[in-house]
Amino acid sequence: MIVASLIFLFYIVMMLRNRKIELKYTLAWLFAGLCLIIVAVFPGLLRLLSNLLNIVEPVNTLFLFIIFFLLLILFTLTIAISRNAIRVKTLTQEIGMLKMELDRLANDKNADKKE
Amino acid sequence: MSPMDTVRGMSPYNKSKGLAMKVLIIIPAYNEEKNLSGLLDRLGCVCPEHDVIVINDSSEDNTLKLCRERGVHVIDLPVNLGIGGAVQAGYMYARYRDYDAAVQVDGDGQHNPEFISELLNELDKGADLCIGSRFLSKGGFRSTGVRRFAIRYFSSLILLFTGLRITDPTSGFRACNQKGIKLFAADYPRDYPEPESIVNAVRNILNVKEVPVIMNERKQGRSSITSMKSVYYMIKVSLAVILASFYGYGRTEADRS
Repeated sequence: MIVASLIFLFYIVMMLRNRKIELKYTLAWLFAGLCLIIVAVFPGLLRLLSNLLNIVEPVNTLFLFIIFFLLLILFTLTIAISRNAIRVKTLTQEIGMLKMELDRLANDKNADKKE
Repeated sequence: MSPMDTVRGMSPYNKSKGLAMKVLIIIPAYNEEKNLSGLLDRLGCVCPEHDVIVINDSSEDNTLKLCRERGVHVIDLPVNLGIGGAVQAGYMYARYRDYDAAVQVDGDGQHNPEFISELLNELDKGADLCIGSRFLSKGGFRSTGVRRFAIRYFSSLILLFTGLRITDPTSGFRACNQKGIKLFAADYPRDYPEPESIVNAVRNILNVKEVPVIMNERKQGRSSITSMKSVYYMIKVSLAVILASFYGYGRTEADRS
């Protein structure tokens, strides 16, 4: 598990260095990766947390937190996608208008030349 | 009034105001090469004094070419946005060019340009948004069974949430003044926008009216609403209407601009 989480973290950092993903969207992933390493190194922490939450099997605590994180990240992505969709829409409309204005200018110029 | 004016087909809207109002006719078109030409011809006959703008929602056919050949102004969207995004582009343009009123006419030839003057007339009487309803009039095309049921359902939904009786909430044949242009340019639903935009308008204290119009059956091509999508359509619009009814939804965006 330690190895897996280390590889995971390493992969994220590599992607970040290559500028393939933005830091903004990876904070949650980085945090999740760190938590995984901590839990992997100190399994006692997980048992302690399970006792506090009255969960019999520590592995269920792990699942609980993983699911929580995944939901959180998914929802942030939905927000990000919606925002991008709205931006694309507005940009498309503006480009459409610009193209028309450009056509109009070109036509005016042609008309001037002919005269 | 000189005979010349009647020959040019002055609408009542112009007559009562004394000076010509700047009216923009917005035609959203997606693959409408077969229907558009006839519509443009008739617009040219009925109301040559109004400006026309076609919004080509990245059609795959020759819609754009046809418009260019005819010298009609076209907003050519590089990415397909759907009817809502296309119509909104038209309203954005109307706002940008400071038009006094905008009329939305579908590119499929369902709407008769003869009724544009009646829509504008209603604006003159104090309405901010005027919808052409095929159910207030006698005759004409009235849609098919299932769709009429859906229309009645939306109608009662709007009645429930706004207290306003709109007989034809899915009608895309509508005129609005600068207040409406401003609202729609800032905030217009993306797909299946008509019922939602009515509720939005009411929530933004716009005066919404209906006038009877006669519609035709679409001549060529298919409607954008297929049976597969109709379930999604019903659910989406219902949710949107309910959401739009909450005080403040959509309002802030319109106020900001």
